[in-house]
Amino acid sequence: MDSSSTSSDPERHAFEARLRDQPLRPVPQELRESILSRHTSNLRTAERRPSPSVWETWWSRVSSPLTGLAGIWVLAWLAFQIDPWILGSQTPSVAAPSARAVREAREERLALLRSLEQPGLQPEPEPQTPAHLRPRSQLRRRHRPNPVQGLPHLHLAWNTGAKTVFAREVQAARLVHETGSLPTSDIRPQSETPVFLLNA
Amino acid sequence: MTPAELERLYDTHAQAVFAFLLNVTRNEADTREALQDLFLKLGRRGLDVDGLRDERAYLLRLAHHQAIDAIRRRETRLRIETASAEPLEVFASSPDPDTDTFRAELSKALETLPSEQRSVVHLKLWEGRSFVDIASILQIPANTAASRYRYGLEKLRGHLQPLYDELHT
Repeated sequence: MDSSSTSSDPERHAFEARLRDQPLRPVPQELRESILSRHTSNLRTAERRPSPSVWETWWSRVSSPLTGLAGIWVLAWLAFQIDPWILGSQTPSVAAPSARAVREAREERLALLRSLEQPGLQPEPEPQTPAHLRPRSQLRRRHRPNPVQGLPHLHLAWNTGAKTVFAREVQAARLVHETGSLPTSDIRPQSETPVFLLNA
Repeated sequence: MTPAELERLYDTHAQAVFAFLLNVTRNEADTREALQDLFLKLGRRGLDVDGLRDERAYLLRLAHHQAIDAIRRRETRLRIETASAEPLEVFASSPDPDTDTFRAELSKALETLPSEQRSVVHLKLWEGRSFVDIASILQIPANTAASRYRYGLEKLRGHLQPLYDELHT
């Protein structure tokens, strides 16, 4: 490990020896006096300071963990105030309805039932968005197994076919909306295999 | 620690610790402050001398930490004082002008080294420490200490080439 200090290179060895021979600067004398006098002064100050009482010793040990616990409790309380889901509750806390609100809701329902019992006073149907105007996510889709699973060369064709089937569904939904019934010709089996696969 | 104990510790090791701090920090004020902090902390905390294999090595390790702290503190400040400061005297002055010139050049050459290399070179040359000791003091692998010494020495040779040639003529 220390091969460099006993190097076979004589020039390097001589160079190292020349450097080693240079004496380092001595430490200033005033530093010694300053450090030793400050140390003596520190010792005197420590002697004059009264030793801590039992209570102070106990508090110095306990205060730090207590502060930590209090901090954690405050953070948890704040988090719960902001959002109960943070603490693992899956549903937001809903205040129980008051007795008055329950009574009013019940009366409202009874009034509605009474009005329905009277002939000629049917409630107006709620206006509905036409099916073709609803977002695609709201349209009911039938689950079909993917018949081209594991056949990558048919994926594109299947996707195209799926779009065609979807377009038919939209058309059927529009017919239901406009005529009030679904033409029997549009009722298809649950699982439909595209025609091109049957031909393949 | 009693004043007598601290006095003994100071008289035995302060010279070596001071020179090491001065060479690593390259700043007189930082060195004085670090030396004072180190010995006052030792005075407060005490030193289990019996539990120490090598008292000097332990103090040099503490001094290294102090030096690193001092360098970091200084790097956060403006480095005006370093740029405008007088050349730092790391070596004792000599009545012989040639020797004085060589020491001044050596001090300048040492300043060009990174502090990591300078620490190793100092401990190797002026403390006579083995690389294993140096590794323990600086808390680096021994191979790293050896390679830093090699690179540092090569750089010093490069800087002191005219004087080095003169040495062999």
